[in-house]
Amino acid sequence: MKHIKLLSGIAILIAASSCTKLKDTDYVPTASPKANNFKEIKVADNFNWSTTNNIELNVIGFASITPISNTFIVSSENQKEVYFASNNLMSENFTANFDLPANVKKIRVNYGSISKVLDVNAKNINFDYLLPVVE
Amino acid sequence: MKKIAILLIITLTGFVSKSQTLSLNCESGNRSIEQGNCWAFGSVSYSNLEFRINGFWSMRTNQLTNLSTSACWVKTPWFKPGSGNITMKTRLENASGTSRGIVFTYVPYDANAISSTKEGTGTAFYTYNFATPLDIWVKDITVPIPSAIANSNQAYKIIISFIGSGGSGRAFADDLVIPGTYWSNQSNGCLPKALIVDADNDGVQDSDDAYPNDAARAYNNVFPASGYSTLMFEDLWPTLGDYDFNDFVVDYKINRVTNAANNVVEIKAEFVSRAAGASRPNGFAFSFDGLVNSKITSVTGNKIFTPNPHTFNANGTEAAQTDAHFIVVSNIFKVLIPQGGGSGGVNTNPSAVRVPNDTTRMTISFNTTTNTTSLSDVTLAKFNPYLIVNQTRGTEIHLADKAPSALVNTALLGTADDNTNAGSNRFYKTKNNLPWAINVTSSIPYMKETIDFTKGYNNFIDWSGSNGTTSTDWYLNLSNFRDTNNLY
Repeated sequence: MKHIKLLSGIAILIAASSCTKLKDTDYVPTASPKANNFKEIKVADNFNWSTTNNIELNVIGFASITPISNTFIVSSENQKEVYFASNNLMSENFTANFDLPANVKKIRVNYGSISKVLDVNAKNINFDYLLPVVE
Repeated sequence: MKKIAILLIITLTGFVSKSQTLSLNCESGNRSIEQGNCWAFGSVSYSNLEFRINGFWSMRTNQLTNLSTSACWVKTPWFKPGSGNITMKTRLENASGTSRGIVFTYVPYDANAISSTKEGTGTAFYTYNFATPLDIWVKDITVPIPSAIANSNQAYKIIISFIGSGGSGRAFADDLVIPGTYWSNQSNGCLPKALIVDADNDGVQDSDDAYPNDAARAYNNVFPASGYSTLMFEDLWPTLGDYDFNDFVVDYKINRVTNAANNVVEIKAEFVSRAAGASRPNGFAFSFDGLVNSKITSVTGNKIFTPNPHTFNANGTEAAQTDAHFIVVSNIFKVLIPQGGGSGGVNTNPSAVRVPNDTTRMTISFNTTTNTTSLSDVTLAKFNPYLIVNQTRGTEIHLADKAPSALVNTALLGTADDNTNAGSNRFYKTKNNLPWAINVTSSIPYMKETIDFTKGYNNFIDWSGSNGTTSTDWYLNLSNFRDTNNLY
C-alpha cells in the first residue's frame, strides 16, 4: 500500500511537470537544413578542418633517487602506432607535443616498465609516473 | 620558523638516499612516491594519527594477529648493503595482545627466479620482540647488517615484517635507515641496475634506438603514425571550384628523426603524387610555421623542373622567404604526365589511362649544434603544405587558416570568394568558412572528376555540420562510410 501511494505520487508529479507551459527561453530551435553538397556547408569561424588534434602532454617529473634516463613513448592504446618518442630523465618536467587523429580517445604512455593509459579528453593533458600502490 | 623549515625539507620526499644509506621517513605522506622509488608495502600504510612517531607521517600496520612474516611488511628497493646497523623507530598502538615482534629478512637477487621481481629465497636474520607486558612507548631498534651480505657488492632487499598474536593492536614504524647503496632501476620494473646495451653509446639503449649503430640518430617520430595522410586541393582559388578536391591529390608521411638529446637531426619526407585533376601546371611546396632558414643545413630529393619559378638559398630552401620553405615538385605535370600531351586531368577520370603514382623522397638536414630544433617546432599542426598555381609564384593555395609565404601576391588575398583577413589570422576560407584544401590523417580515395566531395564520404556533412563533434571518423573505411561509385 505504501508503495502504491509512493508510485502514485511520482506519477502525479511527472504528469504535472509534463504539463508545464514552455517559457520562451525553453524553445529549442530546429536544426538548420542539412547541406546537400560541399558548397552548402556552413561551419563556425573557428571550425578545425583538420582530422587531427595537437596534444600537449605535460609530464610531471619524478624525483628518482638516482638519475634515471629512459625512452618516453606515447602510442595508441595497443601500442601499434607511436605518436611521440624521446629520451628523458625521469626527474625532468617536459611537454610532449604530438598530433593525434581526432577519433583517438585513449593513449598509452610507456617509460621503461612504467605504463599508463590516459584518456584524451582535452588538448592539454597531464602525466605523472606514480602508479597505484600494489599490496 | 623551525616548523616551516622542517616542513620544507620533509615534503620534498619521504624517501631519502644519502650517499651510502637507504632511508624511509614517510614524510611524503604518499606510498605511491616510495613505490615509484621501488619500495613495496604489504598491509602497511602511512598514517598521521596521533601515534605517529616522528614528523607528520609514520608507517602503520594492519592489526597484528598473525605470526607469518608475509602478513604485514615493508620491503626495500634493491641495494648493495654496506656495513653497520639498520636503525628504526617503532611503537605499538596499544598494549593489548600476547606478543608483538619485527622480523628482518634479507633477499638476494636471483636472475633465474620465476617471479618478475627476481627475488631469491629470503633469510631471516634478526627478530625483535616487544617486551611484555606490551606498552606504547617508542623503541629505537638497532639491527646489525649480517656479515653474509655486508659490503658484498651484490644486490639485496630487506623485508621488515611485523608479527603478533592475541589482541588487535597495530604497530607504527618510522625513520628506517639502512647502510648501503641504492641499486634499483625505477623504470625497469625496479630490477637491479644493469649496464644497458648501447652499441653507439648515445645514451639510448639499443632496444629503444631506431638507429642503434648511429650515435647521431635515435628516434623516428612520424606523422601520421602509420601509413600515409592525404592532402587534396582545389586550384581555382580565389574563386570557388567544383569541390571535388582532386586538382592535386598527394599522400605524405613526415619522419622527424631525432637524436638522444631530442633535437631534430633530419626530416625524411615522402610525398606520393596521386592525381592532378587540373588543367594548369601547378607546383607543390610546404613549410613549418615559424621554422626559420638558419636551422636548415641542406635539402635534397626535391624535383625542380625548367622553366622554374623558384630561386634557392645555398641550403636548398627557397630564397627570399622569411621561414624555411621547401619546394617538393615545381611542376606536378612533370611527374604526373597528362596522357594525350599538353595539359589536362591525370588520374581523375576512370575511363582515361591511369598514370603511375610518383613518389618524391626528400631529406631535410638540421643544424644540431647551435640553433637546434625540437619536435614541437615541426609538428603536424605547424605543417603548412600548399599549391603554387600555374607556375605563378605569387599564387598560393593553403589549408584553411594557414598563412601564405612571404612570396604570395597579397593583392589576391580576400578577393573573389576568398574571405581572407590577414589581420585576424584568417586565411584561405570563404565567408562560410569553407576551405580550398583538406588534410586527412589517413590515405583515402579521392573523388572522380567533378563529383562533389560529400558524395563520396557519407558522414562528412554530419562531421562538419556538428562542428567536428560527431563523425570524427568520417574518413575511415567502415561500413556505409563511403560511396565507392563516386571515388576514383
